[in-house]
Amino acid sequence: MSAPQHQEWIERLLENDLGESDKEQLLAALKADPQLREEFSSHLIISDALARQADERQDETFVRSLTGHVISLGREDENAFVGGVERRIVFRRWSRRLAIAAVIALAGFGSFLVYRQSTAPPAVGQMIELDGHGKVIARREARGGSHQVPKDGFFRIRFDNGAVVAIEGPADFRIESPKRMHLHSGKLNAWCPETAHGFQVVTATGTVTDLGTSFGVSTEASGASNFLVLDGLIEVSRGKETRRVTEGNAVRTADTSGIADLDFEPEPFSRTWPLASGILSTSGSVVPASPGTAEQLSVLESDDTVMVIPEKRNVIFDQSIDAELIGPGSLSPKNAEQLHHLPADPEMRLRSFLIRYNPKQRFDFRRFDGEVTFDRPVMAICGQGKYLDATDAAFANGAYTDVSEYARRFRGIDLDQPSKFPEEVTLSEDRRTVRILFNAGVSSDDIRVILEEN
Amino acid sequence: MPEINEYSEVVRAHHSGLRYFIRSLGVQSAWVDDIAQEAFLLAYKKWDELDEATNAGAWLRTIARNLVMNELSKTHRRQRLIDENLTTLLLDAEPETDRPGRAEDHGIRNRALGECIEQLSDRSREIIRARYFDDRNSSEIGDDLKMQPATVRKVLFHARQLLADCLRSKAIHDAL
Repeated sequence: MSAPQHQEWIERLLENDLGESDKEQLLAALKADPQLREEFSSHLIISDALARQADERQDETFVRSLTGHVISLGREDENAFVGGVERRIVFRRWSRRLAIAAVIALAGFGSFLVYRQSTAPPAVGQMIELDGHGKVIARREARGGSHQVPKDGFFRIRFDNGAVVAIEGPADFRIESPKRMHLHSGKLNAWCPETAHGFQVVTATGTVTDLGTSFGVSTEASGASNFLVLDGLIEVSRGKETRRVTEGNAVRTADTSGIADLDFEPEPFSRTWPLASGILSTSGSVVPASPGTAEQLSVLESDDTVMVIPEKRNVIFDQSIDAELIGPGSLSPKNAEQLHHLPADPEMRLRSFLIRYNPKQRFDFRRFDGEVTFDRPVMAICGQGKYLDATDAAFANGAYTDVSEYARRFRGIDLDQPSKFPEEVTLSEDRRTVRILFNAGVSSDDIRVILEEN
Repeated sequence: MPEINEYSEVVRAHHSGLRYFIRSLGVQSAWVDDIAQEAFLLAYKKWDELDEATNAGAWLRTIARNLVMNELSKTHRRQRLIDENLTTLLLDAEPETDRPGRAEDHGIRNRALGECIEQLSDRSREIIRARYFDDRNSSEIGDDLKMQPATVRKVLFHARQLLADCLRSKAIHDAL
């Protein structure tokens, strides 16, 4: 029988919660004691058997899908076979789907689809996988029990209840249900509308419960976790201790302590926060804004870039909107008078982004050319100052503080600039990508992009 | 090469034991199925080299063992292992020839495991279910059941030990 200390170490190792020093001691003990090794192997096996026990028919699904996949690849010629293996390793998350296709095609298991649909864990939302440049490389259903260990790239999960979670690799996470997921390591940002309040992210040392908010979680291999609130309110619990954390604040949980205050430092979430906000990619002079609270976002400045700044979400569409662009095409001096009127529809929920050049201190004209791609089609773009002013109350993060007539006049896109300093906004054919050409000087240049939330 | 029905019988007969064998070498739970899949794929391609179908289990284990050893030599794939030193140790300790008689050699059938779980005390069963069916860690279970996390871990450890003993006795019983 193993010593109590060994038992504790083995148990912590199985929970991915064993420190390096203890791990070394456990390894030394395992090396010295064959009986302990045998016992340890047995615990690994039983723990796996227990994890599989939850779904008794999972084994049959495994047999059928794997057989089809193996035979599909095995019958290719040698080079194709090697390629197939490499494809499968690189895109391992596709393997189950490929396997299912192979089974259907090769064996004619007509009843298999029915079987699989009836036994697969329920879908809880949609998941997209993106590479490091924001290019979508896979789309699939997110299912309860799905466990992912990406080395790099990003995942974006949109749960059916409206919660949106963006995860940056390397990470280790598991979706448990529409209202709960585990983050074993890595970092994520989550945004939860009213319909998803109560959504939880569990780490080795703490649990965060959404109370109406946008928040970030990062957790280290040791289990120590940071929780940070960008908007609204969360509840963090560790053991019997519970803390409510408000916007602009952060806390940390660790094995050796309870819930401790932490400086609010959102920069580590500079990749996941835009993704959770709906920005898939940017290029050229256009960049996502650094993460921050609404107050911080409203005063962001940059001399060198045009920022895409998320604004209010879940806005009830109860006031009509005047906008120059509502479909594919461009807004330029050639059609400066173009205007569309969108009547209110209180059944709809909207959200917006401000695409903004807001220099700290520049006194010369500068050309900015770039684009941003969103996760859904754009509904309307307000380009000129008066239409921005009219939609501020509904969407803006903060009051537009520069109230001078000069500043307000030049706030939006300037369609009457000299021809050598043209400004133009273009919405792509699929209505997801907005391209801007700004020739900006001392004043800010803004446009507001409005999208449907639901 | 075997036909699909024939090979699906091979997979059905050996996948469970093979997956437990791979896990016993310290492979992360999330990657066990992938390595098992690679082993079945290689076995299929080399099926003609197998002397007798009755030796397929041992042969698959040898292939899987080599695949796990390959994991150690590829830096970018070591994330598949709980710890590379641990796997090295377990590989060194694992005899290369098949060794009959252990519970995992027979595969762990769900029904047998279910019966063994029913023999645990109510408290142990509750903790096992929370850990493995609800995916809660010892701290969370401790919160729910008003127990120290260390006590939860102790219960989990002993419960698994009882389950292993129970499965072994069932395997012996089945063999009679």
